[in-house]
Amino acid sequence: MLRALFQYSFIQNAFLCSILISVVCGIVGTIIIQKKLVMLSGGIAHTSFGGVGFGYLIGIEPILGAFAFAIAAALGIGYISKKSHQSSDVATGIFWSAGMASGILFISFTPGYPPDMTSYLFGDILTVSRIDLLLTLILDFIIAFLSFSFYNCLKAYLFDEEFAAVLKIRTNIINSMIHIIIALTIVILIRAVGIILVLALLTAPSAIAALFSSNLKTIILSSMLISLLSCFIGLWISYSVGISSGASIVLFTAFLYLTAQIVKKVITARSNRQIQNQGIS
Amino acid sequence: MVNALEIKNLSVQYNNTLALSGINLTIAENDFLAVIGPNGGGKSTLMKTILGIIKPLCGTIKLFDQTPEKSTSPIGYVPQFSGFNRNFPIKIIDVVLTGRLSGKSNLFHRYTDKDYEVVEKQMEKLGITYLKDRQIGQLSGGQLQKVLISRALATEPKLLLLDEPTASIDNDSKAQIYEFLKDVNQFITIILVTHDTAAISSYIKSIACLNKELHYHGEPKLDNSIIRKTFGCPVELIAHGVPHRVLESHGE
Repeated sequence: MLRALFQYSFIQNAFLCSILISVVCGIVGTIIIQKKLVMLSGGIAHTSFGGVGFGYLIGIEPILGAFAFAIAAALGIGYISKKSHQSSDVATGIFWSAGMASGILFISFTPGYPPDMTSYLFGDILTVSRIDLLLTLILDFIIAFLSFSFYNCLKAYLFDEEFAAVLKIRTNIINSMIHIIIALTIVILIRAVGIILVLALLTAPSAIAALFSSNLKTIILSSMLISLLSCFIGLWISYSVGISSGASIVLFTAFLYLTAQIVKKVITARSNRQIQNQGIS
Repeated sequence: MVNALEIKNLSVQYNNTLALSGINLTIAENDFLAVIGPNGGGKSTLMKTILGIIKPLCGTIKLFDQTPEKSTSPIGYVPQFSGFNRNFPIKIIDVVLTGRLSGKSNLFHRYTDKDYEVVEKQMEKLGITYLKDRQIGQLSGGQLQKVLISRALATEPKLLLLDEPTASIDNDSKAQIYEFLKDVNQFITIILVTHDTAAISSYIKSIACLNKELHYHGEPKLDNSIIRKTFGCPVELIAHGVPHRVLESHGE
């Protein structure tokens, strides 16, 4: 595979893309895990399928449609659940299904042969273009800059939003910005792992890191490394076995998550036993 | 003399029901007010309206003669435990430090030496310096409550609001916290809400009962007519000013 890495530009692109998406996965994934926004993220991802279909229908780049739908979903779900005093689960579920349904509807209205949606549903990191890489790089810069420069406020907001509001930190703006950033991240990740698989890559690395660390910065940085590892190994498996890259990356991430849970159990059991032994002796 | 808090004709709608109706309340500086009332009586709503988290339907609130938006002195707020994520990866010192943030803390904000000084002083006063490097999830109820009080005081407020500060903590911690609040009250006006009438002890200076409407009683002489008005039925009283436990029958 190493030789292929030097030979083919699409493999080089895939590797670059892995590095770039790991940065957003680490930061945004940690926000999603700590703020319990996993369902919301799933809703945004699936709503963006409607955008892909809409893009085909009106003849623009489908990923632009996905951006528009994802941002609309991110802000819409937040707005509706705030106004209706219902849990955001409800609005999320409705956006989730309605997004998928409208995607299929738009595709069926599109004249000519129906386009192949597999690469949007399951992703294909081997087909990312220079433009995709550039977009990801820009997003990396924006997210890294914002989270680094507002780190203290962000941390206070993630821990206790209400108290942050009492301190007159503009939590409404932070809220909307985080929703928009999640939407942008998801659409960027769709190219690599697809709408259906994006949730695992976004959440598993940070969830693994949170099992072993209780320092926010450490969690962010190590989840970047974990998602980088998942992408590289997933890519290598996909290359050597000849299976879909999105699926192998996500399956490897899920495998890592399960292994991490087991390792954590063993460590806790062992330290409990040690405490018990000390108590006896 | 400036009043710490002046509420006029305040009504608040929450979740499509009228949670507070026609509230009038004036609190002098350095008062220690306990607001009691049943669950769902609007106690937390009142707190959040004073804090500006919930917008009122009508009426005005003034803090030290200024509207909450313009008010420059922050309000110290001690929320209920359910309000935040207890599994969040954060050390106690960092929790208390967040009290030093404000709406003006923007780009590249870093805590200053003075922030650390204030925070360490507050933690020392409450005797929780030894918890500094612990995680928030590892604390007992009493310890956590003291952390939240330190965080509120780290904002250097002139008014301190506490929402059910003694719920789910042991009696020792309860006593320590009340002792501490009594001390703090020399410089800071305190309002606490509770549904725990046993908490109305010798520490407070005045009392108000809230069940959608508010009845202010000044001196804490809690008798059965007040309690009945608020709770709708007589409840067991263990309180200052009430000589012994009175448990009236409901009258069949």
